[in-house]
Amino acid sequence: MSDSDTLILPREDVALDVPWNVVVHDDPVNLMGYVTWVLMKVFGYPEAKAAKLMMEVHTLGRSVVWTGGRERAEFFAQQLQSHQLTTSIEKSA
Amino acid sequence: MKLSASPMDGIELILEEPHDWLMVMAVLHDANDRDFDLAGSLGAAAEASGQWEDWKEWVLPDLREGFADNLRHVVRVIKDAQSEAFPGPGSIKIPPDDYFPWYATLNQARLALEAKYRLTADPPAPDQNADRWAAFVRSQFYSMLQSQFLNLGLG
Repeated sequence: MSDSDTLILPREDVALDVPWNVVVHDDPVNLMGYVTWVLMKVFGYPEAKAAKLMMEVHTLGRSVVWTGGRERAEFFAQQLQSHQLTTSIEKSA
Repeated sequence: MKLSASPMDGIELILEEPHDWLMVMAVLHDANDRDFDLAGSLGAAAEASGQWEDWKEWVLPDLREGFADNLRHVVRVIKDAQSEAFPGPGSIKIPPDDYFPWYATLNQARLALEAKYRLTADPPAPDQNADRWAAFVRSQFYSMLQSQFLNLGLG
């Protein structure tokens, strides 16, 4: 080893995987029964849970419908948009 | 126009008059509004989150293709029915397996009409702007059809 060789020291860098929210936003067109049906189809939610989330969208303007890893959040957002629901993802607080 | 619905056989639109065909054809025109970017509008809320550029590049093309597929399917069904019957009476049969592309195309049409005319925030009256009123009537008609699909189960 020469004097000028670089010594590489390993450093542990632990980054916590921040959860992401999938958010459905209200719109004036999609029928309430349809939004419930989409949430059941995409997430496999029972009807009561899907209907509750749909009512949150309807009354509050938005609802966090799923929280988890970013890749799956993006996948679900794409699925919801393919069913014509206005959707975004955001870092969970 | 009459509508017959059965859980087993699906929905049949019975077109009795020439203007019934025009009403059905209007779905295609409204759903294919070139001034309205449905795929882009659905992810607009992502613009603020810093993911919009990736989303535009990787997701929007697939969404657009999916919406176009639904529309193409409905166009084909209507044109086939029309070529057999127009301008006389005829019918359009929609089996249960076809409910989703029909529902989605009607939704595209209603979303485009809403973006153009803001029908829910300010519903028109019959004696006001004729274009808005006609758009409102079409949107109500599409919504009624969508309710039929939902009642029978989208699949």
